[in-house]
Amino acid sequence: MALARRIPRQILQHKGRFLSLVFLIALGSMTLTMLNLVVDNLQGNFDWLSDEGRVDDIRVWTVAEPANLDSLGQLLHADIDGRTAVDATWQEDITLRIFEENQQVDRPVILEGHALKRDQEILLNPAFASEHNLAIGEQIVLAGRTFWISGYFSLPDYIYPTQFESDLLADPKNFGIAVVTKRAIQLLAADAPVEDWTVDRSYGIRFHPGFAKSAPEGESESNSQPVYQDLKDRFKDRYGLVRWLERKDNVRINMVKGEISGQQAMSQSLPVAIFLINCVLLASILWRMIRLEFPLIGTLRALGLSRAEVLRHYLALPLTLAVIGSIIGTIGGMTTAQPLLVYYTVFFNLPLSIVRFDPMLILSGTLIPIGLLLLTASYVVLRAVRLPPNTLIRGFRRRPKAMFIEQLFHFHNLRFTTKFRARQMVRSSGKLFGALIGVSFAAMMMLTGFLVQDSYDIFLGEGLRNTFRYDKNYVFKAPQNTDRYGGEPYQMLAGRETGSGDALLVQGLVENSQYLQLIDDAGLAISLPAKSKTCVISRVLADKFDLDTGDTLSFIDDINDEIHYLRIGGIAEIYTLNTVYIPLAEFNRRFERPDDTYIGLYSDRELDIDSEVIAQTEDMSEMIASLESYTMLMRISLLSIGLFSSLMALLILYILFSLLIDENSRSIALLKIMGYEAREIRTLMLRIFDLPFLLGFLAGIPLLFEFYGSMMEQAYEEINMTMPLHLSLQNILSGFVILYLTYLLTRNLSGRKILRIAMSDVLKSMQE
Amino acid sequence: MIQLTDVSRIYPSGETEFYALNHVSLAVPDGELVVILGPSGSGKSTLLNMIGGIDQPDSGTVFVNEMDVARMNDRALTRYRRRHLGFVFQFNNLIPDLTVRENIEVTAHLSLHPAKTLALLERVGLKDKADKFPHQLSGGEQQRVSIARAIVKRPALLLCDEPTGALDFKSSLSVLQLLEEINQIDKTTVLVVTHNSAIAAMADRVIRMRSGEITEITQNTIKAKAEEVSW
Repeated sequence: MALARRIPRQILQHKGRFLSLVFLIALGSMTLTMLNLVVDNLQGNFDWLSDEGRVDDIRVWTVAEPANLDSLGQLLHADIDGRTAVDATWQEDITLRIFEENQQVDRPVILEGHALKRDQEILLNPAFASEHNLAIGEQIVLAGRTFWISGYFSLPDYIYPTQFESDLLADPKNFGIAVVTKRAIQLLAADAPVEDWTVDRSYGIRFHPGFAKSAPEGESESNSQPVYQDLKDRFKDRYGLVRWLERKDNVRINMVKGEISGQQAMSQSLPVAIFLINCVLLASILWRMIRLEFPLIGTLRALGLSRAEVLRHYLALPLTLAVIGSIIGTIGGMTTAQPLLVYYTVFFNLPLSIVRFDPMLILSGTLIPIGLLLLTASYVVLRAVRLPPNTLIRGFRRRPKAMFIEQLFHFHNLRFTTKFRARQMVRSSGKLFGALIGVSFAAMMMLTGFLVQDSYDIFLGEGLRNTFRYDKNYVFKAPQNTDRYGGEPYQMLAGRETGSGDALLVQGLVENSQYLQLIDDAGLAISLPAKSKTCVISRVLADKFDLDTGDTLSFIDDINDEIHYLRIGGIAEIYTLNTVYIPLAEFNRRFERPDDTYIGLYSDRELDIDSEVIAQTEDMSEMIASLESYTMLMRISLLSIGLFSSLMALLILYILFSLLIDENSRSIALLKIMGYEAREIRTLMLRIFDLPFLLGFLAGIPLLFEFYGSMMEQAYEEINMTMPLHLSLQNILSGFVILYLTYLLTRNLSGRKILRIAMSDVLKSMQE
Repeated sequence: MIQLTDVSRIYPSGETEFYALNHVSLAVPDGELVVILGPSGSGKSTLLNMIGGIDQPDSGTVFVNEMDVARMNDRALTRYRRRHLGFVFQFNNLIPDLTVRENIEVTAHLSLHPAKTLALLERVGLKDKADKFPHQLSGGEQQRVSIARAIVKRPALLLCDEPTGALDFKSSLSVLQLLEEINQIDKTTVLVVTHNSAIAAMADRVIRMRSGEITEITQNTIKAKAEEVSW
């Protein structure tokens, strides 16, 4: 049909405007496709690893070795595997946690290379191997024993391989995990006392299908709880329960689950925001075009074209733009999904065995933007097409309602320039709204980098450095009661909140602890007098259960299963663990431990403690250093997001400015004829976006906090962590300056179009 | 045959009503060239729109070739305009980003038996301008393209609303000659709305209107040729 030939000509005529729009559509589509594919594959590989590696439902640590695991398993309708782990020092300050190869529960899943065939072979986690350039086939020496690297692996209960559960980051530079055969681990365990290594043994339990699986998130655990309780009692009575860890409380799994949830939130909200902006821009462009073509549409209708034919014709242009943009975006999304997926899977030690680009997700990446843009375009076109031909032929007339709004404002007392701009603003409300949301979005993206930077500064400063002032933290295998090592003693007990069953940690601290300084939100130290009956809880625990000072916290201790009630005396700005702090003496009294008993020591230096009695050693300075290097990397990627947001702002504003100039070409020509200079016309016409720019930027700040807050909540819900959101005034100003410069650049570029408006053409068109 | 009986069209005007057409009755036999004369606001364009099915009366009946136009729904009206009518407006309303040929093709496909586009362009004297865009033509040429666009469907009835209103004398004459030719050669009934009384000389029938009413209907016993019309 001849009408279709208009489309390429229209695109060419306003190529800057339409190419910008195509780019923005492609961007939305790319984000949607890329994030959806990444999330889908992360989830798919996570599920595959859990199934393939037969992840445990529960892991237990006992005082005595349970006898006859097979018959116990049959009785419980479960598989039970004992697993020895040796924390070996491979090189100075580099720890390798070597696990025994299990066959039934938490078995290693090979990512590359082959499974263990000999006792001299070892499997390594890929991040560690990559960090230390350890290739398959090469050898590694531990306590004089040589092991050949047969492959890389992932462990389903150790997906995110942190050294300690309290670690926020896996640090492959200093810590890795490995798997050797049962025979090899026995030899390494025998070497442990000589080498000053620590040995740990635990039991993974995985119920047979249909028998007391861990309840899915958010669902009642009533089905699994009686079985779990029975099992727990059995272990407690017969073997002495040291620790009980259910899958839902395993931070090394939850860290990855949390990240997938975070990505999921991002994959929904980011494209939606971009599509919303695209729809507003398209509506503005299309409405401008349709308004000019009212008489044309009327004529076509009078000549016999039906409403549907006219609608189809005017939808063809947005459809073309949407199809081009979304196809480019989908291809871009598919192309970028793969490297992003590889990055994530390496980062989280997830296998990338199944890379499946779900056709439905790819299709949705193309069809969702097309659908949304067509809906928007249909709304705009129907506004015109539904009018009768004789009305259309008379051309577009501003509705009395729009005039009425203008009359509400009393402009006559204002200066001419202000009055002119005020009228323009009222008449261009759609474009101002577009600028407002466009700038808000760009500001949100721009400030994300600064927000993360400032929040991490608070997190690292108040949350870690100022609170955890020790350098070394030694955790003993068994309670101690003599003061022979030095350092500051503390007690510790695992428990769970009564209502939710969520894991928490109760810690007993000495009065005026030198190494663990509890600080409130005002930055003041919270004292914990030795005879105090109240407790102090971490911010993350308070936020999670909406607790405040004066409330009562109830929890069940994991060892005796007794319910305890504690009144909350303060909330410490600790963002990483569900922790309850009480005085050490009160801890020992309440949990019926002998006076002066402790399970751990804090120290500002290395202590001379026999490795055999140590369960784990934590090095705070190493943890902070690794976090700092991580945040530095993150800042670089966030900087690129900032630049990207500037580009987006530039395109959005360019489209709006060019529409504004087009619409006002007659007024501009008249002003020129009257003797106004281009600079003055620019001031009159283009500065109407100044206010929406400022308001959009300011609106972006609370929106960012809201968006990032809810995203963090989803991401960190599983791992008992919270992020104190903070944005400094200095960084707000920096973000503003960068975006404002972008705005000025776009305004000046658009200003050149004003010079190109010919007075004669406009006068001629006015005579028609 | 066009037959209007007691047709009224009322528009609200503030708190009162304005009669764009006030109980108008009219009959036009097939094949005539009719000129509707009257000042602005006399109702001549409204009358044309009623016959053309782009507006509908509040009362009365409009029959065109025995079709009850006033009772048609939107779909039927579209079909009616598509099959039986051609429209020419004061401002040609050509599509600026389509060539002359393409502008005609836009309506050609609406007809089952359209005229050949190039032949039609030759007839309106614009064959060599087939691939030009409207802004490359003069006002008169643009109006001739819009007439070609209207008649490519071979309509039985051609409705022209101030077809020479925006043209100079010379261009106006060429447009009038074309309309005369369409009426005489194709036997198309042509209705021309104008405020230029000089054009009445070339009509078979002249309808004069004022304030929504027909004040006079006259038949020209001696018709002037279009080329003889002068003002």
